[in-house]
Amino acid sequence: MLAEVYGNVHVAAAAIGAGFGVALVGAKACEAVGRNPGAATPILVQSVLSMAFAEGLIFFAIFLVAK
Amino acid sequence: MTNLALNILAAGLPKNPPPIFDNGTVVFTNSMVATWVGAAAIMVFALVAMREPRLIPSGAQNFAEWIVEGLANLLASILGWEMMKKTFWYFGTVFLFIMSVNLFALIPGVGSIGWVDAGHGFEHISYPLFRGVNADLNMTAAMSVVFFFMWFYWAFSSLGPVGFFTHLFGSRQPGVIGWLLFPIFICVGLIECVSIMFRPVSLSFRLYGNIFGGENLLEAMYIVCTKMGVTFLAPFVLVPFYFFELIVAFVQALVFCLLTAAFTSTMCSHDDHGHGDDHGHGHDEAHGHGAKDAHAH
Repeated sequence: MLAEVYGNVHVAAAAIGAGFGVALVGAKACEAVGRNPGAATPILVQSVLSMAFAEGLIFFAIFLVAK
Repeated sequence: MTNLALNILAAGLPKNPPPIFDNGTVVFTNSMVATWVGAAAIMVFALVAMREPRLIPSGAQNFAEWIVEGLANLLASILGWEMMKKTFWYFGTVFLFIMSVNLFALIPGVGSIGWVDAGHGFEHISYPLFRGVNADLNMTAAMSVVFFFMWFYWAFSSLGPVGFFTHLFGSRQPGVIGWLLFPIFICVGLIECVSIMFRPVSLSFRLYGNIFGGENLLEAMYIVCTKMGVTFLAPFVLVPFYFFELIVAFVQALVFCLLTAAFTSTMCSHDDHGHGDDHGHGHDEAHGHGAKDAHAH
């Protein structure tokens, strides 16, 4: 049975993608700090930047919502 | 349930800040008032903390030095010590300002004390006295546009006009292969130009979207409790979201500061990483910048 899907589906898709992106970066950053705790600060910088780019997508999607 | 969802969407925070003082020529919005309060708080704290600076700091001076030193070390690890000293006034201020106004917006009473429109009950404050500063696109856009122009200034002053364009469009390979690859690097430069033009947009939307969305989330959770008839549970339901917003307030300030710093460092990277760079990765800087390049584009 197929339900009708309507509304701003692209926001949902962007949210799923952003969630996966942030989760991947977080998992790998934890792993990297576990392997090399001394490099925690550079890893923090890199991971915060990549997370910001991953989640940045959803804001473009939200601002493209049809009124 | 459809009705509930519609009510939540309808009663959220308005997208633009309502004016609380308007005499025709001068308009003050509530986010402007919150901006002044946030800026004044930082200035007063700095003045009080550094009133009698001592060689061995304690109390407020210790706290202020801890913040500034931590920020300076973090930025120096991205920008290099010399560039950090030149640009700290922007990145340090932006971090402290965004962080303090974000935290200010979470104080209970901000956004819920104000004037009520005629015809409305007291359940909806139409003109609150304060509003989260970064829940106003004007403020975030102003900060990112200032960065946009400062980025050009810093890039031109450290590379020169010729160096600026060779950095954008120039071939990275020496010799004949470099000349053969020239069209590719022109295309790379064009793509980079698009990415540079989009930076103010994405910087301002990211900060605005996070803070505005967070404030709406808090309101929506309260409204859910009200609509379900369990208003007395609202303080407990809201606690985890408040903690989340506390983290967001810090992380978004850090993200704005680090992103702008990384954009600057990819453009103004020098090879002279000398004194003060005590993180022991002087020779790995080339790789580090390569990695940042990959992120930034």
